[in-house]
Amino acid sequence: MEANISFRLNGEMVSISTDPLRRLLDVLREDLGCIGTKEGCSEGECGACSILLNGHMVTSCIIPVGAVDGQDVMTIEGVSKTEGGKIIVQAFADGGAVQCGFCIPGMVIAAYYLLSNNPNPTEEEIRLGISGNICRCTGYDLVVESIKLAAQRGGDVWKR
Amino acid sequence: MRIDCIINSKHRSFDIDPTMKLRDMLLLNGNFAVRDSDDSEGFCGSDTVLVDGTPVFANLVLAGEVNGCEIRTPDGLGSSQHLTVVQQAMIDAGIVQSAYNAPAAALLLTWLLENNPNPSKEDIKDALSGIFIRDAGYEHYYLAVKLALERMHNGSYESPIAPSFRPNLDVIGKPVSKIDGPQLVAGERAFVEDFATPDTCYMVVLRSPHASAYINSIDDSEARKVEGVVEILTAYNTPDTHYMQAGQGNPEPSPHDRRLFNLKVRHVGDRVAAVIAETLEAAKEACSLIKVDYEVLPAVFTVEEAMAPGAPLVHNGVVEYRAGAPADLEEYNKLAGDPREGKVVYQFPLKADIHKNIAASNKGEIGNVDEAFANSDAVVEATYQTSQIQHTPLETHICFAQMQGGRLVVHASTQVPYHVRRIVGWVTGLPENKIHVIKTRVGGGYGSKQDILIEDLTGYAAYVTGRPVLCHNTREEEFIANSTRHPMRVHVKMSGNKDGKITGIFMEVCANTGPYGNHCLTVPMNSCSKTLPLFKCDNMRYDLKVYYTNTPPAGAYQGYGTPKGTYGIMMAMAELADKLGIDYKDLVLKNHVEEGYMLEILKGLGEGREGAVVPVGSCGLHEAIKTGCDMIGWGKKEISEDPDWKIGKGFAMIMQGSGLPGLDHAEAIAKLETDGTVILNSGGADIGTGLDTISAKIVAEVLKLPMDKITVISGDTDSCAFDTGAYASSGTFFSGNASLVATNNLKDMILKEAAFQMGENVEDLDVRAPGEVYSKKTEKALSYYELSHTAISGEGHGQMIAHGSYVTKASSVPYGGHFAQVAVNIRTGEIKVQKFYAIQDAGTPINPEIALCQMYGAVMKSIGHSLYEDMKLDEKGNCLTANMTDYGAPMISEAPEDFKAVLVDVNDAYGPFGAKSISEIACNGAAPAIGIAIHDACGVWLRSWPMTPEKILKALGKI
Repeated sequence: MEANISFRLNGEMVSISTDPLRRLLDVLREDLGCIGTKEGCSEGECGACSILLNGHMVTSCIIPVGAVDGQDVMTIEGVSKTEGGKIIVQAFADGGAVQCGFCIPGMVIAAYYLLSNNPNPTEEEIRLGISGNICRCTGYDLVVESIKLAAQRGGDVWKR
Repeated sequence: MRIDCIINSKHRSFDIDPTMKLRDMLLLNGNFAVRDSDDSEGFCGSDTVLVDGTPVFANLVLAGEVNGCEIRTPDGLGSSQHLTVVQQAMIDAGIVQSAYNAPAAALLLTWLLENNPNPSKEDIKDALSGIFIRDAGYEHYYLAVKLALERMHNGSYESPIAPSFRPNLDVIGKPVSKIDGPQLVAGERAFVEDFATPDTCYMVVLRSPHASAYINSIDDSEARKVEGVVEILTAYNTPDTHYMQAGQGNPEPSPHDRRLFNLKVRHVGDRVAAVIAETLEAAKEACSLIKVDYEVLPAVFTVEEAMAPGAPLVHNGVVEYRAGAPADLEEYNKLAGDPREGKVVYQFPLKADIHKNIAASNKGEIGNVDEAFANSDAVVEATYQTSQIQHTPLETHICFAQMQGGRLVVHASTQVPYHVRRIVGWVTGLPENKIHVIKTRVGGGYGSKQDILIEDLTGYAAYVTGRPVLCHNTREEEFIANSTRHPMRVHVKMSGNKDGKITGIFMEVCANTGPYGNHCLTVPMNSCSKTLPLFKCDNMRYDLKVYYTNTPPAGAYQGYGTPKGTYGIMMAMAELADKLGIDYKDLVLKNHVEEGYMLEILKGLGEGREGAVVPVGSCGLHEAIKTGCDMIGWGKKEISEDPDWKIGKGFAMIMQGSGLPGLDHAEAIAKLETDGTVILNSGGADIGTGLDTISAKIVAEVLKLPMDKITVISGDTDSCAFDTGAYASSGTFFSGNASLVATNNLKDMILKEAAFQMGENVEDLDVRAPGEVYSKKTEKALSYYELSHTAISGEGHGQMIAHGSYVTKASSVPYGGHFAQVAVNIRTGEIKVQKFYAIQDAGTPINPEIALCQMYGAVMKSIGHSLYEDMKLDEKGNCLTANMTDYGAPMISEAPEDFKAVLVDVNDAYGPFGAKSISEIACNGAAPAIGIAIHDACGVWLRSWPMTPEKILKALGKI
């Protein structure tokens, strides 16, 4: 069972012919080379496979690719090339947020989504913003600090 | 995309989006018994189907995944006229009650037996591990499997289903298949959602994100542009009528403190606006486009915060009284704040003070409690705290309303059809003759459907738009915007002497009613009025205060305050026994009431009016306690092989009522049809409890008719007569008695007409099976068929139609003892309920198998609030546990390992055929029984529910 599915991926239109029930995560990683998106739990719990779908953060492991036909998808590969994404990646590196790094693409997506919608979040809002992302290494504190740093460094970038 | 599959043995093709949910595809195919009870979360199992022989949740499977598969749905098993062995066994075992999940459970049991012809208890538990049952508990599921297997192998049942009572009666006190069971277990049209028409509009409510705020403005201009939007309702275009949503008798002991929409929101989830649109998607989209400007206010969430000096006020408007206004009212109203506060209108004084956040209060005393405390050998004093919990009926609140012929027709899942009619009449301005309320089958009530929580708005929306409107709560809305059990702080002081006599009891109750005052006086009153009368004690005092806060609203919940009062008072009694060095059982046996004891304490504890001193009537308390102590081996210490596990035992005595004497009112109409069958129209609301079956059994017993010659129509405001509704444990006692009065009156009419037709004297006539009048003198007989036919054939006296009305001052109180044996792990804090025995006096149990299941179900609910369930709020009033998974209601794996419900045989003087209430009382015992058992196990008193591992470890000083 195959269908033609077209969607915007990191700003470029892509078209594939595939089973519309395949997980978006698998299509991104196996067919489209977006291996920055990670598989952690396969049940929408851990946030490692987070992406932006029409600007909203979703977990790609529980979305069939047929559901994104005609939609707009941003993965870590796209986000990290934006001005804001670059600031977050640098802040994470400088702030010591990255240990094993497996959860980090999802964390960066979460931080990007948060700051894009709330340029000056409180610590509580930051913790709420990454509440869907599991990190077993850091204990979260340095991730939170790094997001604060990204908010400060970004300044007007986040207000656009 | 084309999907080909087999559904219930029929080939089907669909041209649909393959990412559609399987359940939505099945709905297109007409399989409406595949239901959603948990916002597609995969918890409740209402959406269970089999795909290629494997049970799955249809809400979690995509339609495209079943291409080429074979699907079986619950409605494909057997129709109500041709039930399968499994379906019939479920009805006979008594587990088909509110039954929202019964079809799914039938499918799972069928699947189990097809794959495992000899399942163990563990196998059955595993098969049912993904289905949530709130009404009947899980115990009789094991029985249903056993019965089904026996009938498959031998053609008949061998195991007893339930004990029988009253050998002199034919159907009363005997297990007889519940009359609405076939329709329910087969998954046929039964619930509100099944009656929505194709042109139905959907209503979605926009809810407040703030716990307390004024609304400065609402801009719905963008929302109105969404295609399909019919109307948007807000405070600016709806009536200013103040009312309340509690389903209580008129005048209500609850303040009229809200409107359809208020300009002050008082909890996260409070109504802000409602969108009526032609599709659900359009309604949701429009909701998201409504712009609201809030002026956020400080909020209070606990009674401690609410009572603090200078606390933010939940209500700060003008106060009015319909009766009994105080002399200084004008002065009081000068304190009123912003006009957006609205009003608080009392039907009569509730001893409230909104400027102190007090919604209601009451106090009273008999004897001299202080003197008793001063002159006793021992006094204990402790505070017991209960948390906010939710009923979680499988069927979330739902209402479908439409205009027909200039009248408003409301399909409601309600416990109170006549209160719904009255309150919908208030908000629409329609007189009662222009409103028709039809109670459908109810997929679980437990008190939450005693309140008119969505019928007011749905009825109004259908009235003003002229369109059919369906409103169906999400599970999240059930938690944040419906009703819950009042969180309560019960402070108990109790004194006693070394001779085992309890000398004084003081109960101080502080209750949290949330933002509105539904049941605000009577729930806390019940904490006292259904606990203090358990004791033969001359000195008792109660003092209760109820506070408004900004939590999700509270209301009626099975037990109605009593579970909390019982938790406090029985724990305190155990603590007193400990202090006096007396065995708790001896203290209980020495102090409990018995038949004939005059209950002085009730003189001040009426339902918002003067109470009356009455004697204890039929009372099986002593026998319940003796029986339970024998069963559990009271006094024998159990030792676990694992030193970390400590085992303890505990019990509690419990009571409730059977309706509200002097307040409740029930009516029924019995009609002899032209072929000699009977239709009984009962005002009573069967909410899955078997009340219709009770009414049918009463007719069968009085008129000696077979059950299949009797039909019961109930809860339909057009065809039936007034009944206050199914609450306060009134169903069997009040509605049942009304059915009895009506049937007795019909019997009198039948005998009188037969005397005329037969040329006999009435005194010589009686009725006998299978439905005929006979003469004891001449032995002549006349069938009901002939009698009725002649009566309506041009020359007779007309159809025999009798009316029955029932009111009483008599109070028939059910009693019981609930016993628990628990194991506590002192290293991890884990608590296991090893044994639970519920011993109850229900008078004559009219449906004994259904009664037992209601006891199991109620105990499971109360084990839930004792150990697991908790609505946790963050500091802004958001409920963090507003879904089934996080909330923690118990499933089959949390049921006690050894679980027994036992009915004590007691005959009551006032109930129909000696019956008292059964179900509500069964919520009262678990918390104190488990709490006392925990102390017996490991020496700590856990004085707040839920009693969690964390609290155990804290009490043991380990964390």
